[in-house]
Amino acid sequence: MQMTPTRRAFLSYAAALGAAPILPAVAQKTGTVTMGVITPTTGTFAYAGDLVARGAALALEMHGSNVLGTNVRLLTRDDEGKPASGVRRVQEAATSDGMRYFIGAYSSAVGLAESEVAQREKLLQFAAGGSEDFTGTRCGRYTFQWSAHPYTAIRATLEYVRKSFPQKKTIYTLTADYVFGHALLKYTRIVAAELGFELVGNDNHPFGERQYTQYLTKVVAAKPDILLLNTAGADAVTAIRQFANFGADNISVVGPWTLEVDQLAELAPEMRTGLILGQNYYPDVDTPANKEFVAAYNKKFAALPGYSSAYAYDAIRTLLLAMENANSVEVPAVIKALERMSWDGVLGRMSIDPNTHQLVRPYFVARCKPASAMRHTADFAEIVATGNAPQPSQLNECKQMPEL
Amino acid sequence: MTEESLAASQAIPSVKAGRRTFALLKAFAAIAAVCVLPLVMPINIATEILIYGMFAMATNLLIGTAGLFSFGQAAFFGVGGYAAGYFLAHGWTSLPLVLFMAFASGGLLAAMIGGLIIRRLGIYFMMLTFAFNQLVYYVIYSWHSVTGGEDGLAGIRRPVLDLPLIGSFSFDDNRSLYGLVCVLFLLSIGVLARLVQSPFGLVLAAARQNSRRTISLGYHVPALQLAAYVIAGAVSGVAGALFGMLYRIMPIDSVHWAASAYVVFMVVIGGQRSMLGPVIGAAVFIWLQGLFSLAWTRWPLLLGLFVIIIMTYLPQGLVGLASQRWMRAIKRGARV
Repeated sequence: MQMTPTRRAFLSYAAALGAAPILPAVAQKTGTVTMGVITPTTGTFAYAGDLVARGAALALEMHGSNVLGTNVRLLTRDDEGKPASGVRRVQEAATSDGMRYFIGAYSSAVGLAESEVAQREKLLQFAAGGSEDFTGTRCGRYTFQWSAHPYTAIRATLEYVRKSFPQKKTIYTLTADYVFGHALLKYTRIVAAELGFELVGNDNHPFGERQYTQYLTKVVAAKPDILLLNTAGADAVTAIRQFANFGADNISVVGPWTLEVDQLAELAPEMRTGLILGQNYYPDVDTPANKEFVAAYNKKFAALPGYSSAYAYDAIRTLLLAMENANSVEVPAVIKALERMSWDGVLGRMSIDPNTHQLVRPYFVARCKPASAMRHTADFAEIVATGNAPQPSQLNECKQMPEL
Repeated sequence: MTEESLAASQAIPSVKAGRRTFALLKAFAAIAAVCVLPLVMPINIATEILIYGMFAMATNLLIGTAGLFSFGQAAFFGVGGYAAGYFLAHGWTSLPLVLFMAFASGGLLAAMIGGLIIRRLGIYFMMLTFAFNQLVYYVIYSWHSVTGGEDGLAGIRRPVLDLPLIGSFSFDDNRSLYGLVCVLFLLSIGVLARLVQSPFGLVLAAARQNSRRTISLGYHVPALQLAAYVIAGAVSGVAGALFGMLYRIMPIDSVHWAASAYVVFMVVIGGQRSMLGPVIGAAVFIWLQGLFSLAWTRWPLLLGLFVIIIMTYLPQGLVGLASQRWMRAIKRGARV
């Protein structure tokens, strides 16, 4: 029988669809765990939103969409890369869809805003981002941080430089003028003093800068051994492209948290050769869990995963492991399990620092290869070092974690 | 007295009584609507709709009544929110104090900006409101120690109302906060509706239609426009404070120029010629954002199309369309 859509039927459907997200979850299915992927699919970080969703869906699919005999439902919401939208979406999903766990904010500002809702509504948030505030001044019992601490990132990267290039002693920093860049600069100063580097200059650039010549001229004039890029994403790509035109081959370009594998393709091979880059994740990480992940991801999406997908995959996988460990899908039990467990994750042996909720994890240093050494089109770099030095406890500003 | 004038003088009290009844009916309808709202949607969305309804009504005092196209109202919303939020985050939780701070900071900033730009006309006025909005945005963005910068102002507590002989009343519960927002929303409707119908509002409307002629009649139009600008800024400041209390955070994007554009969209969608229009516009805009974002990842395109359709085919907004239909139905009924 063929159904002929009428205007009335269409309007009823639209009304029902519209009411679904806003009506209270009176008929919330019992026996279903709802996890949210609150991620930007529009706005500045839109490119990352789909990748985060891919990783999360894959982790759930590989676990059979089920934990402890309970169905697991994944819902995706767009935070637009804006804190106000992020808190609204988290609140809506918690109230209307019974969401109790969520991951996904790509921007620290959005994640920190959502963290306020997480503490109040008792939702478990597994966040990612470059801000140290997640595990510092704005730490909370319901928030966990997957990305490495800026101290760990800077320490791992500069330690490699110190060991491999002992003759390089002076550093000029180019810093993104917002919270992320400032945190990296703060720890660059601390780690440089620890490892005996001399900081000969710094310039701050605004977010979205397109002209770096004025900063790079000063860099070349200062004749440092290293240009340290405390900046990321499109800004870093532009800065590296423009620096290549200066022909200053004796200045090594180092990025402690600058470019992920997804963005390396945007640089010509001669521009990226020799770059030393700190990485939260790299597909070559040699662990059984990562090999399984890379193979499944490649099979499904015909591509190599990057930071965004790996974060989502590992965060969801860890939450499911914690539920099994706690033998419960209740948030307080899962938090307690996470705080005491140690497991083999995508990045290696991992655990959570119960005092800060920072994931204790390795951080990778990769060195970009020349085009002739690439085995395939995405073989941009090789992992040359790993570091896992945690932030010194005297530098941490997280007060005592509250009771659940 | 002729028979006609006698009939007319007898008719005036009945017309007045009719108007009063109609006004009372409208007031009851508004109260009933805000009471029903949290029963059909999550209470935080209902609260947000009323907060943005307040913000949109205040903006419409400028756009719909005075004809001043301001694209910088988020500056006042944000400053009110940050001022109240700062006090609430640092232990000053008295409700009258924080509402006063939000009202005063929004109004004061509007007086300062309005004093500089109110005599500019058309596109110049519009661009200056936009520029001042971005100026305020970057001050808040850079003043990290006070505003939290890019991360927003966190740790905002809900206020407490101390009533003599009764005791303290906390707004920690979302239902009690909704009650507070309802009261302030209804108060704003009442005050703004009264202002629009007062001689002050009529002169603003006259100046919107023909500024020179209104000045030639002896009215000091720029002073009255500045007063409207300050009132809109102060009410927007209170709305911003309520937004901070709702989510206990004041995010930086609440003061961005895009937030100013959104509130103008709300006014356009709902309609500029009634007090109800901006409120309906706020409700529809917030509802559509949720609906479209579920339907398609590139949903802002759908929202943009919706705004284009409204501006092209319904220049009087949704309330204008409803009024037209209503009038047609009445005429049809009268013919029958």
